[in-house]
Amino acid sequence: MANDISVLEDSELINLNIFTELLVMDEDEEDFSQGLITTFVEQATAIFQQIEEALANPTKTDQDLVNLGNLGHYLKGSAAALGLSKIQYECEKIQNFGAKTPLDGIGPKSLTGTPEEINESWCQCIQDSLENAKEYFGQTRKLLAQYYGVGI
Amino acid sequence: MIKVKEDPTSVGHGSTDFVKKLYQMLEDESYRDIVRWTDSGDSFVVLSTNEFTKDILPKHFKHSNFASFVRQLNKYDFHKVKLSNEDKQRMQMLENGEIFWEFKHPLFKRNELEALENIKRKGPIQKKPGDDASELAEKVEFLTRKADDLENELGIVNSKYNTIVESVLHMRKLNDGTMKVLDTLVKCLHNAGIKIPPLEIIAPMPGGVLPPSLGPKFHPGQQPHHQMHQPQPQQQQPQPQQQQQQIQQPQQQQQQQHINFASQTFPAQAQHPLKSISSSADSSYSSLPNLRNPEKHPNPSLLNSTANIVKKPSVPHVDASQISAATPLNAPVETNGDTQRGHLERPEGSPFHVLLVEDDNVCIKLCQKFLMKYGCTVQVVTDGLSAVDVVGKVKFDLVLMDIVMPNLDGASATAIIRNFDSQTPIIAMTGNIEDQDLLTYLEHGMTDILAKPFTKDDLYMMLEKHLIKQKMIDPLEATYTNGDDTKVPKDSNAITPDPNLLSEDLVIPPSKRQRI
Repeated sequence: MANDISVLEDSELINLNIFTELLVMDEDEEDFSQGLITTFVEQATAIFQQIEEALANPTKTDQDLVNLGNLGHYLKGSAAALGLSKIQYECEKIQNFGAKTPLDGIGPKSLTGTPEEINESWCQCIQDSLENAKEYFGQTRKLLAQYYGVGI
Repeated sequence: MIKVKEDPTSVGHGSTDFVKKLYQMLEDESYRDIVRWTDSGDSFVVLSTNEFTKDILPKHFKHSNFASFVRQLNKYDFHKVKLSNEDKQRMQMLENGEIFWEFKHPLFKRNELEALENIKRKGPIQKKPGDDASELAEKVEFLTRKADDLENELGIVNSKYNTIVESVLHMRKLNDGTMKVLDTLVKCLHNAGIKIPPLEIIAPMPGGVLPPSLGPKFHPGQQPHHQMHQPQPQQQQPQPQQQQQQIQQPQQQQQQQHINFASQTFPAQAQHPLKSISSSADSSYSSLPNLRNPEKHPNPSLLNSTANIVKKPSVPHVDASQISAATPLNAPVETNGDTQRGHLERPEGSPFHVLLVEDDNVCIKLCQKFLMKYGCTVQVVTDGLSAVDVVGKVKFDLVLMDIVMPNLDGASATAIIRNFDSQTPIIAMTGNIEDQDLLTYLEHGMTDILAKPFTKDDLYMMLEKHLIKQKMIDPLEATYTNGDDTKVPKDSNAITPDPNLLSEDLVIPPSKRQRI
């Protein structure tokens, strides 16, 4: 059923306070919120791909980690603006891991070895968060497609 | 006098020289009354320190300082022997009561010359703590010096960086000037009926083709020939993109967009001069609005922002100029020159003109929407460098500044803006709200901080706080009237909104009315 807010209510993926604020904007401009979501989907797809490419690098330098963190930061902002809380949180983790900082106690289990090995440990964490983020992203898309009644 | 046997291994050692000299001295019977072996032969006594110091020390040790002699003995681990009364008697202590000194070392014995080799200076062991300390002190000094050096270097790098940013901005200005000159030229050539070939590569201007009257117009731009060859587009890059959907390759996107634009209207002269010029050559004079008054277009590149200057469409009593200012996107072909010029400056009649500096499309769209709903006109730029540029040319009521951005971060951009504009409120929009970060932002000249992500109400509260405050400060400056399309503002920088425009039903969203 299209445009039924109840399909979003039970989900933890979306912060409804923020999202309904976007929906109010649709009163002025039809499909405004949907346009935002479309923009986000394109953006997220591109960022995920960039993160994957960076992670595919066999050796990770400190600069690679910084770049990964920046990508996380970037997508975090977009997700936060739309109230996509779970994606936002995973992106924040990526941002922190890029700066070699744990978030809420989450981080590499051990930080021993050569600098390269340590960087690799952080990248492993980023990889995990990326997988989570992509999973939530897929779920969110599905949910919003259901809400808007169109493919997103 | 017994000659000390030379031990080849000790040669050059020097460490036992003192002991050998001491041994030799004691073997000299002529000193018996001053210094001699004790009877047991395992220690020696100095009977008269005065005479010993005055006569013997200079001969054997090249100094006359008894204290030094004793120190030296200590270094070799000789010890002063405490004498019992009995001993003193046995030693026939002198009547004059002069204290005599007996020294002893377990290996220092009469007739045991070989053992002397084993008497070592204990110096190194004793000195070690001192050495460590001095070594550490040296290290500290070294590191301090290094830190100072680095600090100096950092200062130099910083000032170089600022200089570079300034020169980039300067280059942009020069380039803008050059583009104006080019526009003028193209117009004149076109008027003269000269067909301009598509200029895919900028060729030096063939001087003969230019009508002589164009000469003066050409000169004001500084060294136009050289400027034209500069690959400026990169630096011009961050033009606002309302329709841009992807971010990872904004420049390519822009190109695409500008090419499309160029075929309809001419917002993009500065960015892709060649394409624009070649199209403009084929276009009618009236569709080259900014050529009419080139000197009034401080920044042709800002023409791009057409799409981003948006007036709240639902405002009921908008005057004609506002409407035309809001519609060029929909009707680009009809856009006339005056309206175009309005976009370089403050849109006429705008109660609040806000600059949004943000590189994230989702945030741009959303924030822009919120601002428009509030009744603001919005201009968007996507990096700090463009922000510095635009703020220098257009009067804004408020700047919303992201921090993490390409080219120049928001904090640095703000610091530069503060060099020439201390009034305009600049609000940092940031997800980093650690105390230290906040302090840094304020130090860079930010007026306030809006934590990301923010809701509409958060943003509106910020707008009220700073926009209304501004209105309170100088309501008298609002001398500007709107509704007359031909009227030219006296001074675009001095424009403040017409108080009439502030009447609630015009611009203040219903939800805000009671608060104002």
